[in-house]
Amino acid sequence: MAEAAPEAATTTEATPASGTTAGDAAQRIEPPKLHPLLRFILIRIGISLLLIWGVTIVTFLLTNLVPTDPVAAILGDRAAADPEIVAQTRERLGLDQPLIVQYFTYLSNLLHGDLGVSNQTRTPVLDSIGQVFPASIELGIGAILISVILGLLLGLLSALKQNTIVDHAIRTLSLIGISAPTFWIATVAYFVFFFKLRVVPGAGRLDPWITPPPKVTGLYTLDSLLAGQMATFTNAFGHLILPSCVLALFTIGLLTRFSRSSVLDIIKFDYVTAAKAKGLPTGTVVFKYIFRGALVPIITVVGLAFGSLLSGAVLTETVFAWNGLGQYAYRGATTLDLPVIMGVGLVIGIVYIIVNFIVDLIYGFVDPRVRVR
Amino acid sequence: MSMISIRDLNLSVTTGKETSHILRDVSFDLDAGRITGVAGASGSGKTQTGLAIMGLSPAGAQLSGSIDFDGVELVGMPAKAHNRLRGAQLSMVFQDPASAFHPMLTVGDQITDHLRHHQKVSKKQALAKAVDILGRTRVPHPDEAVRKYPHQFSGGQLQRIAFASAIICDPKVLIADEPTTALDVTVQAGILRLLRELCDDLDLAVLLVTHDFGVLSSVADSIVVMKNGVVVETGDRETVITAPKHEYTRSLIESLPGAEVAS
Amino acid sequence: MSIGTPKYSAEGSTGAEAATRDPLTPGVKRWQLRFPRSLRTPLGFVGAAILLIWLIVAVFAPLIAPFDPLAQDFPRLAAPGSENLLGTDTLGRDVFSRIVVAARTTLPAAVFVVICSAVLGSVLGAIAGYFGRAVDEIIMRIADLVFAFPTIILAMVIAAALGPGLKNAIIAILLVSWPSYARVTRSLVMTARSSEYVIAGRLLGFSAGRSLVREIAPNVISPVVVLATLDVGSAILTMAGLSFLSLGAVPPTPDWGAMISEGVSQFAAWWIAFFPGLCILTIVMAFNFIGDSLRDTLDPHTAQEVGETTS
Repeated sequence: MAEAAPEAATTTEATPASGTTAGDAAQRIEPPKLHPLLRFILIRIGISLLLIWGVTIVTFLLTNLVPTDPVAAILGDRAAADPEIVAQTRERLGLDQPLIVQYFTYLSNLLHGDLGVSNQTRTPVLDSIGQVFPASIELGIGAILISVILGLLLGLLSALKQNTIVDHAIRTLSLIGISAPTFWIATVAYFVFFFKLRVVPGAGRLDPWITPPPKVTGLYTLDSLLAGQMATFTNAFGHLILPSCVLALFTIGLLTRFSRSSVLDIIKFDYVTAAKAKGLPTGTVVFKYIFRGALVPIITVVGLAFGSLLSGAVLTETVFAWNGLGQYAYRGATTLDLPVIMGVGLVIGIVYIIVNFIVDLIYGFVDPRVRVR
Repeated sequence: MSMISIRDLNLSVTTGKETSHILRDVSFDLDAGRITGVAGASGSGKTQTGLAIMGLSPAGAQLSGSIDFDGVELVGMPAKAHNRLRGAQLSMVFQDPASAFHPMLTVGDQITDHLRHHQKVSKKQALAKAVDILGRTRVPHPDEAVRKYPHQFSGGQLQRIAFASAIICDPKVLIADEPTTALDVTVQAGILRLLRELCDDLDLAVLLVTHDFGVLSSVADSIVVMKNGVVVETGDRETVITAPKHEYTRSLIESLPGAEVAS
Repeated sequence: MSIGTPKYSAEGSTGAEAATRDPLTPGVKRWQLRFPRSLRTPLGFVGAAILLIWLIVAVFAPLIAPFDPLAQDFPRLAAPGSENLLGTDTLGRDVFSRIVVAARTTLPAAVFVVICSAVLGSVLGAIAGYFGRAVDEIIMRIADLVFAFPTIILAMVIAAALGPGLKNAIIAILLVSWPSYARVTRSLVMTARSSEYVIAGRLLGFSAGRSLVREIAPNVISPVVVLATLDVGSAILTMAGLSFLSLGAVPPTPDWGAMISEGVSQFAAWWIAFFPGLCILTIVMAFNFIGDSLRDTLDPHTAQEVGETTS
């Protein structure tokens, strides 16, 4: 990475400048002043695209930094001993080309949807990711819903009851929540709630004897509803509960802490005193004024929280035998299947950037100072 | 008969082990149709007096004494009952209009939500009244203004909107806390004129809190001078300005630029 | 005198005081940490106590561990009992001994990686904030790129590329964790650079570089220390995550993350996964408790820089 750093630097140096040029270019197309929201969106798109480009550079450089010779890994020991075969393979793989040429080959492959082939199973990485992706999305949505709702409410409660026993309890619990390794919580929760108490169904996304619903979105809960299979829905939903709660635990802690401090910041504003001075009921003051103000900074953190959910998924899906991106990555990591790991890293990096882009957009729509001139 | 009469008001705040006395035996009256100006430096307790009337004293504050509002005792009043008076009978305008409005809610929403709560009028009626009141406080294009957000207005306009919000429920008492301090000098006079007008037309009892003695000498009917939580002098404007009894008042008057203000 | 602030008691007089403070007073350490005081909060105290216990365990591990952590001397998957306090694992090794010995690798490794990334990140951030322009752009764009990945994912990708092993896991964590220090240091340096006392120093003929070291450094150190304390916790979590993915310490070295990984497939033998996880939880908790208490002694502005979300 020591060599990689300057290289990545020169290529990404222009990020903000290009971000603004994107805006400027758009301005040239439409000579009267660009609507601020449109301008905002264009700049965010520019930044996101540049970040995605940067992500490809990172994965490319890492793939090429591997100390073990990729040729040896592909050919196996016996063939690797033969210099001629090695040379041929190198040429076939384009490894004799300069790094920059290799990068463009890599980039063009990526653009054609080629993320390489798994060393273990010989299946194209993109195909496998496409198959397991919806499972992770379903888990991620479940977890983010739980953590946003609980995190915001607990944070709000904690801030409004500042320095009371309730506040101290919530703060301590949220600190503990962000201190526990998710994969361990997953193991313990699975042991307690399934193995001992039998209150949740076992591993996987469905009980083994139930056939998955016809694929539309790939989310079992949604697809079973679309197909009108209530029994399947109930089963899929039951299977979803424990994994998403476990996954949400860390982000609940994160969001609780953040929304607490965010609400405490807002309470200081005059407009809160002004709202009280108008004799509005407490509920209105809290939800219409305080919560709305605190929501803006919180929204940006939800994007970050999604990042830790993705990380958590990689570590917890295995425990629940949840056939998603995380389990795929886990298998790739334990077998040192580099194309798989890089593919997952790339996809998660891109998803993360897109989620943060969407979060930025929501932010733009919610805050009239961005939306209205 | 005064609208509000404050007698021997004491306020102390306890934080941890320390108790600080913010108001000591404060007594003065507010009369309908008159502007009572409270002058004093930062920390003199003038803002806290206003907040005590509104029932918005800080958490952990102990109030004693009496605040009589039109025959109703405000000190020790249950929070719910006080909340029914706030916004409806007792209203307040803040120092910095830019931070006194929620940036994410429209002006129309913010100046009518208490009207709708207190008087149970429909959204449509409330907005119609808002347009009417905004016209009265001379906000340009009131019908468009209600749909706009606070950041689309200048400070002076926002302060006019804040006055509109304060009077929309036809209150009896208006507390204006440094309403011109955060504003550009050029719009200050306009705001003070508006305050005078509203006071006269609506027969409001106004408490004007300011550290600027010049403001008081131009608009207040009577003046209360406070220092370190104690009222050092009260009286009609003329009396206080031409014949100040207390040394502190004299120093405030002497610090005014030129004698023409005192005339 | 603003009436919206909750600090009514002094009626803003402290604000006036701060405003009139002599801008030329050198080295006003506005963000000084008060260690003993912050550890007096209940959470800080609990954190310090837990940490102390773990330090003792790590230092005296060979004396505390009853058996050789690598010896496969016992019946496999024996439940916790009088001989094997916390049971044995799939290979018949004593879980308690392995846990105790693993503290010796995890703790120093986590502290080491955090110190390295704090130094690296602060230096890069200071350079970016001090020189600005192109240098700033280059450094901060790389930082943005690191932030474009969730931490464990990037660490996983780097560790996988470098190959499994404790050393590579440390390098991976170092590479993913320096940017938060760079951001904080950069913004503090930029604020301090334009502050009155540094400008005053320049007027007196001191170079900005001298001011940077003498006046700014004291102000930057406290937030970085707080960030680092909280970061030891996340470093331990990331390291455990990498071991869980078999990208950390190579077997048979005892390692908490790897032990949990082994326990996942052994439901009947819950003790294999349960106790190492408890170790991770308590030690990360200790650092978070201490870091949180330390941050409360920072001024609100700097606390915000350090952020509520150090994940």
